[in-house]
Amino acid sequence: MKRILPIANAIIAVASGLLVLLGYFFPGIFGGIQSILIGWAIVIAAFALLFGIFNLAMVHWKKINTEGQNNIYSIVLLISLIITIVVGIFSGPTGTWSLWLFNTFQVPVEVSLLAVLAVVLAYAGVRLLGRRPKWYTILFLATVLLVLLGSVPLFLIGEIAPLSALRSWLSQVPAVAGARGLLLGVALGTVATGIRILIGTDRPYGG
Amino acid sequence: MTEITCPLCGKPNPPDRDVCQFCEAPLKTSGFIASPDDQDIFTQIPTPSSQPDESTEPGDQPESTSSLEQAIPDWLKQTEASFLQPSEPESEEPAPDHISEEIDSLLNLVPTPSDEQKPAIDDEWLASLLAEAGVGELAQETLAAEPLQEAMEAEETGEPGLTSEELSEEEGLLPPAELEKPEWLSDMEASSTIKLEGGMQPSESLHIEAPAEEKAEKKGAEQVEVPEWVGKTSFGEKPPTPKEPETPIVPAEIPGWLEALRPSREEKVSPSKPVEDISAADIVTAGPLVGLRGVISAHPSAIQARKPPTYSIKLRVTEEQHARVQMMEELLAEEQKPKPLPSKPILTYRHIIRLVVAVLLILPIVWMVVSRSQQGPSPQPSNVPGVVEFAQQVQALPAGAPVLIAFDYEPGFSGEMNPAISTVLTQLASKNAYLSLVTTTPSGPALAESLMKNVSAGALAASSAYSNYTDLGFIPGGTMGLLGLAASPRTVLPYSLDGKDVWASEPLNTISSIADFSAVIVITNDPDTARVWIEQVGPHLQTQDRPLLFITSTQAEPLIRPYYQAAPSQVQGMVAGLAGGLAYGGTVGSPGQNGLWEALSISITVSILIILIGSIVSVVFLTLASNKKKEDEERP
Amino acid sequence: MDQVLSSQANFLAFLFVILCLGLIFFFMYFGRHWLKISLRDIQAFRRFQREVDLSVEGGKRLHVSLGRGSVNDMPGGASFSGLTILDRCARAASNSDQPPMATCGDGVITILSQDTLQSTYRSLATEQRYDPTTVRLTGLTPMAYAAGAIPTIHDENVTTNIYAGHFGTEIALLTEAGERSRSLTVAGTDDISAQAVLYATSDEPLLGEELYAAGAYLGTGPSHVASLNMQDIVRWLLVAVIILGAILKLLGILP
Repeated sequence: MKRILPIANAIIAVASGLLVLLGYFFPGIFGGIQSILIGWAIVIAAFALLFGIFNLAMVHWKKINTEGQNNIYSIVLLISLIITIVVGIFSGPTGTWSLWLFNTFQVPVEVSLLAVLAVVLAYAGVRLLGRRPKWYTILFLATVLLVLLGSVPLFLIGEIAPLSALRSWLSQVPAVAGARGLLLGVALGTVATGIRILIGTDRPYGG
Repeated sequence: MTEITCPLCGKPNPPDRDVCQFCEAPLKTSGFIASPDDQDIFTQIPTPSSQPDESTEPGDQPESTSSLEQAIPDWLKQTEASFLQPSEPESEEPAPDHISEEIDSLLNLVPTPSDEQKPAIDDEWLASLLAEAGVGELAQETLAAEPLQEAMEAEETGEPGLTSEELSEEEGLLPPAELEKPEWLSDMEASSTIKLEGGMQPSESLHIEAPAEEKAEKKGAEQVEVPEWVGKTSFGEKPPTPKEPETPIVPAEIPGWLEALRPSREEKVSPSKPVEDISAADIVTAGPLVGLRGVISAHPSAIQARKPPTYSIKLRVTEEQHARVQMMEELLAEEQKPKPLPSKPILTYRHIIRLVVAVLLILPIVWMVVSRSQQGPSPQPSNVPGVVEFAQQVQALPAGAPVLIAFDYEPGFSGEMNPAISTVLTQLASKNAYLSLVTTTPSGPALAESLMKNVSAGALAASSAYSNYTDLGFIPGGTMGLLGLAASPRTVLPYSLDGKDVWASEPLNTISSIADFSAVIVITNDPDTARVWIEQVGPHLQTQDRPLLFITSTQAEPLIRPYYQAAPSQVQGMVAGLAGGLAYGGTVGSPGQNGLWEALSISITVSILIILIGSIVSVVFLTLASNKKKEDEERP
Repeated sequence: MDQVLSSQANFLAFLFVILCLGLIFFFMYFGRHWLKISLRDIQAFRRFQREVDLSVEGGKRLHVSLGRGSVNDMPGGASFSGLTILDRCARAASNSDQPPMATCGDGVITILSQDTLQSTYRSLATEQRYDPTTVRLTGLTPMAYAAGAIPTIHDENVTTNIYAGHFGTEIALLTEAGERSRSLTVAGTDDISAQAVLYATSDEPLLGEELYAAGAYLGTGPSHVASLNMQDIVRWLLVAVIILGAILKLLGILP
């Protein structure tokens, strides 16, 4: 059984991947089986979401049982989870109470984290030259400053037209070009990863 | 050479040994069972061949004794002497009772193969015992006595049987020598408590060294029944035979050193007292050793079986060992416990710099929002690409047209994107468009519903809440889900969030594919999500010339704009970030955003200053530190 | 033919996939004998291996974060690279006192991470060390995922943080937490804006497609090296096609 199961997993994974891929190129032949497999994958992804939430609860439950005084946040998390589930069941996902929980807790917390992100990025910009004293670091910082200067009218100064034009050119030409190149590389890497999985040499499913 | 039998354990020993190899009892000093060929070293000790006539008093010792002899108890010497002497006079101590007479008679009855009738021996074990004791000739004679006994009986009964001579010839036994009753047996008889036939009154002790005490003990000794065999058996002894003239034994040549050890003949060596005073020892009253003093009784009752002593299985642990064990236990217990992480300093220079940066960023923003001061004009639609086209596309929608809106942005970007979204929704609501809300993020349905309620409460406060929309919910599967939505929305989202079949009623009953919607507006902050919508849904919309519009964040705008600027354009309009939202609001006449633009302006300015000044300061400090390090290295 | 292949674009895509497949097979079975393949030095991987060894020696923990990319989308490729790195970390730290810990922002990646760890320990005959709770789904939205992963960095005695997967700009919060806890950060993502953030905040960033080279640099297998060679060749082909197309369009040959 220990030998058969990994082989069976590999066969199922390879066959499913090949059928879905061929369904893109030959929809007339493999379109039907592709739709079925995609439907199954969507259902599995939805249940994987529930499994992830269960895993989260189990981790924090274990933390509560093992650790002493440092588990207050785990207790808060589990209580919040239970309350949210109960409220969602009785009020519905878009009910009054559900929306109250969402607007009172989740939205402000996430907005605050994004604000903290702004502070973190500003602090990182301050330390960047000290961390990496290289010429491309100076180029990086210069680009950042130019984009910031051209994005909005400066306080007490107003909009500087050349800077706005420069910022527009930087964001449309060099930045997008570099992004295109990176995206092509990322796409090639994704294709290579997918092919390795399709031929069975890379088995992230524990085969 | 014949082997020497040990007098104590009865096991054969080589003739050249002085002590028994099994029990280490002296073999030759007593001369107890010496071979006839062996020369007696201690000539004073009477031997059967050399001094047959000498009588030994109990307690008397031969003149020639050595220190070794002194260690030998007298009773043993007595026994030896009496055994070696073929015919010994009886001890001075009286053999009073008729039991001894019977024993004598029994002993006398032991026939010789030639002319004597040997006494009958019933118990073979006694013969074997004697054989083991090394009474070689005697044992043989005893064994030979059995068939002789039978022959005698046969003769008596007149039955034909073997004569003693014939028996001996058959068995090859040597004619037994005369058996004399040894003195030790007499002593035993005297002190024995065994009742033989007719009863025997054991009253005497075997220890002749203290005759007075023995006499007293004799009186006090209990009478024990003596088994019949005691009377009947001959103990392997030969019956007394008539004295025959013995050939003189030539004294052996004794080495000088041994000669020197010999006490002179003139000396009278008095018997030494026994090493161990056993006069106070108990007399054995039962068993085969009855009458003896100072021996372990062979009677089972004499050996009192008792419970063996219990020994504690607890380890004897000293204090120091106990302390060490405790220390080891504590060490092992500590291994299981998670060690507390080292406490980190609360405030470091990095914390201070972060605090300073945060304060510098937050304070101006708060001041701007609170003061609501208008420093400059809002962004113009012409300056923000995609806003005008977006507005035109929305304006071109017919009244009541079905519009698909995808809420694929994160709640954290609500602050940046909500102004644009609210304005667009308000615009669509004013045209009474039927809004179908979908999302590919788990928080999308709540975001959509919340915004719709805000739009209803804010923009349309005068009228009732806007209800011309349906929330179709979450599309699982990411890209595959969108592909399915593009091909057949009814299959992917058959019901709304509140469980209604919206596809059966107007206006969605005319929708069979995504291209049947009048427009598709995607709200996202992620350029990857935008790309997926463009790649999976866009081709379907292009077949029907349906516009694909985007409301996005400033972060994703550079990556979506190429799709907008492409020819043919894959995105027909986009509103990006706060600037785009304010610009779009300007096109439709929406009110201002309460100082948001000014707050953004001052925060950007402060950020620029922070980064610029901070970078310069960090470079200066770095240069100073590296110079100092070089100076330190150059110093001798 | 039109019924079989829906469009010219699909046909070209099919040829492209066949080309990539053929190159991988070629380098796997023929290239290793007569073609000496040398990989350029990537400091992030060199330091990664050193830090993994130091963590094992010091009895500390490794934290591998796999991001929030779903396998249903293109970011799934980055997630699979993250799973490869998780496998190598688990093997390197198999004799460590504390096993590596993984955090994820997607349910499917959580399950795959658990499966990867279990199969790794099984292959090392140490399946008793596997604990399902060492893999955690920390959040379903980007900010929630980052907020849930930060306590892992602070509380689990982590010395090295490895971020390999699909991250957005929220990765700045994670790298900041790593810096506060004085732990090393090695990070790679396929998101463009996140890579810019990583350059400013991470100790060892993996830019561009360096994340997809993790398997080859960590010695996962010959197929990873072969796919790396395939990427190099196809990249040059794409460069040639783009330049040629631009020239043709400039000359007016292409519409």
